[in-house]
Amino acid sequence: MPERSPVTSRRAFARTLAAAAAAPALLPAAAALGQAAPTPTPVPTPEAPSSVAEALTEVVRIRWGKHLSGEQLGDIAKALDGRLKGAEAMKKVKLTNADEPDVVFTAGPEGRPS
Amino acid sequence: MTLEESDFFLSVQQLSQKIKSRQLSPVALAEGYLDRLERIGPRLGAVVTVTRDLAMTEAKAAEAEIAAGKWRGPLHGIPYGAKDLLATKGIPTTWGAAPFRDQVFDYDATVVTKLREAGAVLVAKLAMVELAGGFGYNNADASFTGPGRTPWNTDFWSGGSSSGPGAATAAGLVGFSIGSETSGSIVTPAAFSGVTGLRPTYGRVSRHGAMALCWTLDKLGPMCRSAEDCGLVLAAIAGKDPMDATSVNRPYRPAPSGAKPRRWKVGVIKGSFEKTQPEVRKNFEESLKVLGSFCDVVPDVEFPDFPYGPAVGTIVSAEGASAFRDLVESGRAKELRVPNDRWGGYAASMTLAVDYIQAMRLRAPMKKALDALYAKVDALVSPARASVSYPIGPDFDKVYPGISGGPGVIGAGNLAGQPALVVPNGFGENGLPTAFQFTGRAFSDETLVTLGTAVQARTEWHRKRPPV
Repeated sequence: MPERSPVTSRRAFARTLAAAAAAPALLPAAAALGQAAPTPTPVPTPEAPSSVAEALTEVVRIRWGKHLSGEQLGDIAKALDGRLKGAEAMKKVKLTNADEPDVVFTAGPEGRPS
Repeated sequence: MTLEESDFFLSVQQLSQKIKSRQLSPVALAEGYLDRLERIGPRLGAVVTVTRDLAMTEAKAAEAEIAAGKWRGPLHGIPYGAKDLLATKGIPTTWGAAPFRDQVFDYDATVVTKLREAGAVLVAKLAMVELAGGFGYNNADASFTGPGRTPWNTDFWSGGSSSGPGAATAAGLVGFSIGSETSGSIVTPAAFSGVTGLRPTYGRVSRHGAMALCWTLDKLGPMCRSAEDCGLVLAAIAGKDPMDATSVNRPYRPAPSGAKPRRWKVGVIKGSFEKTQPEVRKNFEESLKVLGSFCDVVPDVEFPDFPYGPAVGTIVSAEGASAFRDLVESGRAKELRVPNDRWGGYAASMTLAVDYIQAMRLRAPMKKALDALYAKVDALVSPARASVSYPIGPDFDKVYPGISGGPGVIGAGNLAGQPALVVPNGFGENGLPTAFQFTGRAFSDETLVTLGTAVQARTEWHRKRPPV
């Protein structure tokens, strides 16, 4: 049975999302880490987080909402919205069915060929 | 034996020569660095644990061995600091994070073992950004020990996530240090602290005993006061380790000292410096002139266009959320220092599996394109960072608007597992250091060190000392 949040109701969460839409987006983790030459320029988000980002955030609220405030859930929605846009950028690179993930699984207890 | 202030800023190579010739006592050197760690370290937020007892034991052993004619090599008797994500038996290993501040392992990381076998002396566990920045920190005050401060201007950050190794090496608190990089965590603090940092090729150095943030990206590497020192340290820590399946049997082999000089071919990444801070650009252009004295410099090299940022962000999010799942789901992430980090793990936990796999699939064509590019040159160069360090206080996205480093060189190199060497090249606003980076093909670490050493033979920036 999924955990229910005693802290943030779905209605309160929806209000937080609406407020979050007016605020500048937080940088995605990759940029904040300096992972790809962090651009210090704030990324404006005139629009509200996408419905998919809101849906994923609702899953966060259901699963771990007792650890999170409404403001934090709003931040999560914005971050997830940014990540979904990043995922769209990754999909634009053409891959074929033969392009495998760059990890190699090997059978056997050692996990790697000697 | 009385040590001068300047002795603490000598390179490993110089310290080693003095130790080998018995002009310098490893015990006196260790005592001197320990005193500096205790006296200056707190001002820089650079130190978590000073390992005085262990250091004195190791230094006395080194002194006795050398006196007996058993010299282990260039690291024998050299005091060093380890980023506090490397396990050290019986000594706290905090990962920079309050929830782990009492964590103690009963074994040593392979790198620590290798350095002990080389005769190096562990004097400190050095500060770091909590959990190596895996949850998306956006502020310099990102460790339970407080912000790391660059010794050039302590109102500014020493860089992350290897904040302590950067500050301590620059301030002459250690002979050298070991940092780690998932994507930018050696390059950034090396640049912001004004030291020479080497991100080795993925797999070249065992990560056994190092905190895992991202198994397919994490690397350990040296942060030193010269490129030559980076080579000496990498030679000691590189190699296959049965405890780390990703490690490879590629020992570091520096170019022979009598090798015939050759004309190198170095490309300049197009778009990498045009929108940087003015001083970063000016210093980079001066570095190109230095390179031009012994290299063929190829301008305007187009960098392959891939979504490096989204790919590295997706991979770090997915692997990091798994690595720290217990912390996140227990609710203890609320104990982290940076507000972003308190919720970042929950956002990362929602990374879709298909997006993670997509990012991992992209690494193959990225590697192929980057390797094809790097095959045409000995190395590429670009500014290590587009700006000088960020001030302590404001969030990163509030400073230096409009500054850009162009192509995602850091993300690309990490996704492809390629090495990078950061070389200080001057100073910018607020007296803060600037740097450029060599990047190259996988396992071209030796070439990058040779190039960096050649630059540093022609410049003095790496010998500058901060006002500590």
